Amino acid sequence: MKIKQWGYAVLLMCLSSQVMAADIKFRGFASFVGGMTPSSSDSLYGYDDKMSFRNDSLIALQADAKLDEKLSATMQFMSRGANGYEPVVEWAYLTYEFNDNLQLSGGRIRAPFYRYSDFIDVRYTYNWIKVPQTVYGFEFPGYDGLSLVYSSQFGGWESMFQVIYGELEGQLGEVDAVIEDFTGFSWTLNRDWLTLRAGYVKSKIDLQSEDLEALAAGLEFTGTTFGTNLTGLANDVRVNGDAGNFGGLAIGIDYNNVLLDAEYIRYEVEDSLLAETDAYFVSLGYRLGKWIPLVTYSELESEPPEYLLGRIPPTAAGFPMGPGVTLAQVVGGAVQATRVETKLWEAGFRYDFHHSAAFKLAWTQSDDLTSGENGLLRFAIDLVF
Amino acid sequence: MKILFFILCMSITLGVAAEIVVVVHPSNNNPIAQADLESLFMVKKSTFADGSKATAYYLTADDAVRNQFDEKILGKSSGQLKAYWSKLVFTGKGTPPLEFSNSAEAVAKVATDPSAIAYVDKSAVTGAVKVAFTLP
Repeated sequence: MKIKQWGYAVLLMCLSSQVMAADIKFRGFASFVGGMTPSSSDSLYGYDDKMSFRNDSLIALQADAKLDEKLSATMQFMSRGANGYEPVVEWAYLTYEFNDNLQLSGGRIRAPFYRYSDFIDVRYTYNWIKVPQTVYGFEFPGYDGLSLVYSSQFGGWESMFQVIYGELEGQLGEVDAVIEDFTGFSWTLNRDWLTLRAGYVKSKIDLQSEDLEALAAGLEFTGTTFGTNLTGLANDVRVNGDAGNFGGLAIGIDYNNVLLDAEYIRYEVEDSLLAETDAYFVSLGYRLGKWIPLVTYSELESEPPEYLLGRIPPTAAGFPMGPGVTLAQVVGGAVQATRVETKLWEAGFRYDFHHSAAFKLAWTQSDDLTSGENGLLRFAIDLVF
Repeated sequence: MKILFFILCMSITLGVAAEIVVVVHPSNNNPIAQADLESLFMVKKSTFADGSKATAYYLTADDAVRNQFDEKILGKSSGQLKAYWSKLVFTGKGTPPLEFSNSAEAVAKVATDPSAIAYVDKSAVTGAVKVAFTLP
């Protein structure tokens, strides 16, 4: 896999230099991140009390081939330390520019869930070491499809409106996922020191989760044993073609060197054992020449899908599903287990030591309902080239 | 004598905040106001007032003329401008202008390219280009 993908890159380079007359540019970005927790009892984002340089480090190379004024092809290879630096094609698309205002792209594109989604890995472009993981914890690979971007200027405002459509077959976290009818928009408005953004995405989701399947199969088996069909309930536990939707709002202010950023998101998957999740962050920084100290507060809360309890047929609620537990208790336990509450504090700074590189240092303190309080100290060197 | 020489050198290095002008091809008769410079050099617009194609050129990020232009006209430090372009480049929404390593090279390019617009040190201007704007 590794060889194959670098093979493509080499092929692209050869094509550029020998066969085609297209104008090809190589650009890239990289982050070198190290971190550790203050004691062996703390653990956060894969870090423990031994210094690790692997978890958040990455390097990416992008090739842009301009075929003519209007048509271009882009490919981005990403190597993440967390995956042993195995290169993965994260973006691969063709773009047609109709004019200064309108462009259409087709291929593998990053989904515009958040304000920082598009350049989430280009960490040089923002002041945190990473975007707050409470809000941005909803990991999502690129989708395969179309993106139409309309940029315009009116009355001192700059507007960028993006519409997307596509599908996805890949992994959401550790789980195999198939996502169809992936449809959404994002709208960013900018005027002098103010940026506003709204985004919405909906789709049909199928998740091959072993945990959910074990529970669903258990319910069906119990139903069969007692002569009741519980397939409907089992399918309400599974994520099988269920409607998912995601919405977000963000504001950014950069006024007199005061930097304020805030973002709120909410997502849910209907008729499934997935909790409805709300999260936000607020970040305040101050630009002192090349230095930017900043503090961030963030919260995530998920609401367990308790309506599933009401879908248990009354006759089935008391069925035994294990030693001394009823079916209703098992479902109730699974529903409550989806509850998540996390509060996050972060304080740190950015220092631009070069026009294309920044040094960052930050302390992160997480207070989570299940994993308790955990601290983490990280430093980063981010660059673009 | 040494001290005098030293003072002379100091006054040259400190006193010469380069005078910056924006140059275009001699055939380009479009009026250029300060407000146009921001949209042309941030490439929010790629046409001049008469609808003809505009191609902006930068100087490299360590050039003093560039730093002054970025701060006075674009209102950004070179780091902020780098971040602005990184956001566009790595999301396929834009391409930054080509960079020249000094004003003389930029002037030579503008002299041969009717769509070109570049900011340069005034001392590098030749008769082959037209000064469209002088920075205050």
